Amino acid sequence: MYRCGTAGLLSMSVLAGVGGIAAYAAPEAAVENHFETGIVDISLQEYMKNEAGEEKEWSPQEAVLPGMEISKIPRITNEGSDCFVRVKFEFEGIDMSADEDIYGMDDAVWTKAEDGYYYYRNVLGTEESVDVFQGIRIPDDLSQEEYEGQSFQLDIDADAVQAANFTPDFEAPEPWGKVEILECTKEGEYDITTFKKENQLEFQVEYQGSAGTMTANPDDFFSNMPYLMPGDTYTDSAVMKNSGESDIRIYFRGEVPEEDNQDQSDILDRISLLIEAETQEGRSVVYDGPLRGETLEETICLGTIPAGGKGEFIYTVYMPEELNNDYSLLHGSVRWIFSTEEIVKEQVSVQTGDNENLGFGLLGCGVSLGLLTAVRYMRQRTLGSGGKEGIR
Amino acid sequence: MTRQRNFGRSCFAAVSVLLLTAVSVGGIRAYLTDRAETDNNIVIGQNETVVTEEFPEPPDVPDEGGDYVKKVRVENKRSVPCYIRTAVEFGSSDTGFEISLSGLNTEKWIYISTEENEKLGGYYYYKNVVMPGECTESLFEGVSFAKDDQDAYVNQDGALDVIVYEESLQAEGASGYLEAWDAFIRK
Repeated sequence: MYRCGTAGLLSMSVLAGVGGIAAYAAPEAAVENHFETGIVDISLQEYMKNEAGEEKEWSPQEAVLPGMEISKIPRITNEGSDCFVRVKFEFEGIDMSADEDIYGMDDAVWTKAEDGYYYYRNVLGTEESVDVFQGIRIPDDLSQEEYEGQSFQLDIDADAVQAANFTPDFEAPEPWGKVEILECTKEGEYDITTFKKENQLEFQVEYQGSAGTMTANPDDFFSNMPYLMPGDTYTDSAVMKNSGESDIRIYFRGEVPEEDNQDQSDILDRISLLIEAETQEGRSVVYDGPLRGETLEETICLGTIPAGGKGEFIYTVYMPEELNNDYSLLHGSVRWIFSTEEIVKEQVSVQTGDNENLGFGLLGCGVSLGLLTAVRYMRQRTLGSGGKEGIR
Repeated sequence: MTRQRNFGRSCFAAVSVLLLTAVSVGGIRAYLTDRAETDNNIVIGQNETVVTEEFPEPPDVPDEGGDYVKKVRVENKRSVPCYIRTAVEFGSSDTGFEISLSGLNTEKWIYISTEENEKLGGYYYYKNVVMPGECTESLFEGVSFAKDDQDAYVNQDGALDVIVYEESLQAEGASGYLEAWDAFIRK
């Protein structure tokens, strides 16, 4: 689109020599937008209560006996983003069942489904814990001949899935559907509570005509965006303000900082970005593609903002729900650069008499601007070797 | 933590997002997930008790009778804290002596007769829980052979059997020996 814009500028520059309209470039303003992705990470610890009712870490008793109630409290703790959890437990080597020989499971929040899992109906928030049950009861009719001195196994499996963009159907045979549960692949320590949270900032790109400068405030247009989870869609906007006394044409391009470009992850290619602009020409989509797109690197004309007027720059970020644990705990950034060109309508004084010099002067100025613009156009074309159109 | 999403700014954006979502619905739903597990090995207790005694080889009982050392205790050999009861009987051989237990420990052991309690009667009950590896105190210290009538017949060829029978019951679930044995007998 820059080609379109520049071509238009070239035409106008030429016309300037004839009609008296000139255009020239104005400065840039850049913002660096940072994002990060969340993680689902649970731990399963076991506790027990001693005779005084004090809780301590689970340690297996030397021996259990028929009729004995064993304090055993499996506890799931959410160390990552909000999630749903489910558990399955089974006895091996003994004729016991989860339904009859477990006690202290809160039926109000745990629901057993046909797939054999017990589903926790609430969202388990960050740093929250939930107890699965309080203990097991050894049947008092356990056969001494068969089991005395033998051992049995109680296996507890806990699964978690992100709560964001995920809605279990607790009445269904499989409340979570066909979600594949994988172990999280975190490496090293992290603290989810330090991750990005939403803000209520307003964004603005402003052209100050008197100073001939352009500013963007704040310097991160993703400041309001909390960390991303698969399926997340986030929309925000920035006001494009023209405080000058001339109409401006506003341009946009994006690039990825070097350190993020070298990142091994393809997260920048998997997250989608939709950009729309509302300007004097109306509302239009100016980009629809990955966060790191070749066409994004080309300068895109967003449209015209009249003197003293405003436009809107609207962007939607989408993290596809098919992304799995490989895309957890990632971060990256993209740099967006806004630039503008002021459209100046020069006053042509009406004079009487012969003044051929003025006509030649205006023509020369227009031609010069045209040549300058043509040079810029050629240079831009060389740099932007992708050759794709920025606007669809 | 709340998650703010603004869906209303743009119809076009909404349509685009819906298209993106529609495409993804047809694909694989992956999401971020995690799993954790614990495997617990639990051992069922073993209850085994045996009679241990201090019983020096006795000489033949002289005609006038005598006392012989036989200290009877019960040892908990395994892992289960338990209650213990014993029954003592003498063999049927007629020795011509009046035989009795000497040094009966009535502090730690209590005898319940069948007249007192039909179901529990006939046993000496140890009052305390016997922990794994521990022994009871002696039920009695010896056996006495007495002859009131010096002219009474004495069977020098006979032998006397002192039969000590013991049973043990897990202590878990009961607050005392009587409660434990009573509950067990009722089953």
